[in-house]
Amino acid sequence: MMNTKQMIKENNRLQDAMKPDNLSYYQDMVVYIRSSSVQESKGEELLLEIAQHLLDAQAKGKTAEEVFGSDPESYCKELVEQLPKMKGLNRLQYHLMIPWIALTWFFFVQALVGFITTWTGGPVERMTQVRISTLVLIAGGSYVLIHALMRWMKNDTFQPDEARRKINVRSMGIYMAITVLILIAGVWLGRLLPVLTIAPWISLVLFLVGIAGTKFLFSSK
Amino acid sequence: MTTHSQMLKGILEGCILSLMEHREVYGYELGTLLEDSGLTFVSEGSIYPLLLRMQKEQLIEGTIRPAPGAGGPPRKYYNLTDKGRNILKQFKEHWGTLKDSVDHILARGGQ
Repeated sequence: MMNTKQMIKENNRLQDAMKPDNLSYYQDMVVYIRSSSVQESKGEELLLEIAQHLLDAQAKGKTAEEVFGSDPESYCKELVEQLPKMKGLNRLQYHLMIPWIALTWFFFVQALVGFITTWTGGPVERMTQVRISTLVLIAGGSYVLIHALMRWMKNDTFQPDEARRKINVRSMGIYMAITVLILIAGVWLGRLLPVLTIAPWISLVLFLVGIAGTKFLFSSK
Repeated sequence: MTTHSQMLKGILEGCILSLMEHREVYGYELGTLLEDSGLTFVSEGSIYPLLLRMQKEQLIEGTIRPAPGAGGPPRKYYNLTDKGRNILKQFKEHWGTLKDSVDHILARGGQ
């Protein structure tokens, strides 16, 4: 039995052997399936299986389109419907990961700025103040933006270049509207929630805990 | 879904179970076996959604491991579960009855 990491490695190795057209067809499938909330190990198992099938077919002179059809998007939809959904802890990890990483690096910056201000004799008091609303904003904002971006990439996957440009303009609009909404929410929240003073060394500890947590919680087994 | 394609799906599922009855099979091989049997209405890619569903219903189970013999690439090999064996047994009975009835009717023709 292979673990997820080994499967991804093998998957990359198989892609090296694909012809350009087959590779581009296959890579669209990879983007679609990896960005769906299915059990990671099952998704990778399927992708590996499909890559191997494609190579076998390629050796017989067949194209990806002949094997998997001319409508890869609905084919992928069909596959994702049948794949086991991410559940329980994995689902929590999936939703938690982006805010977690965003906050981790926020505390890195806080610690860095805090220490530099201390050493240079700057206004430490002011530089180590953190609004709770800022934390909420970073957590929520990063989540919404990254997921919007992922959805955008996913919708974009199977489109020809011409349609792609059109979608991009629309997506950009939606994307910016979301950003504005988040900023408005931030200003509004800022009036309601208190301000904390977090010493640079505490920010540093929080950053280290964040990094350790990232390794522990989110790295593929 | 039309009755026709539903019927074909049921038959296809029975055939897949049967091909896995005595030995483990991998996806590409399965496609080839079906095609060689003349089941050309099955497009190669369409077996994967079906295989996924059959795994979800615990009729078959798959494991990824290197091909037998040295240097073979890892593939996912499928086996029947006990539940799959039972369903196959049922399929064979149903198919036998259906086939006999249809043959009987066709043999009589319009008479």
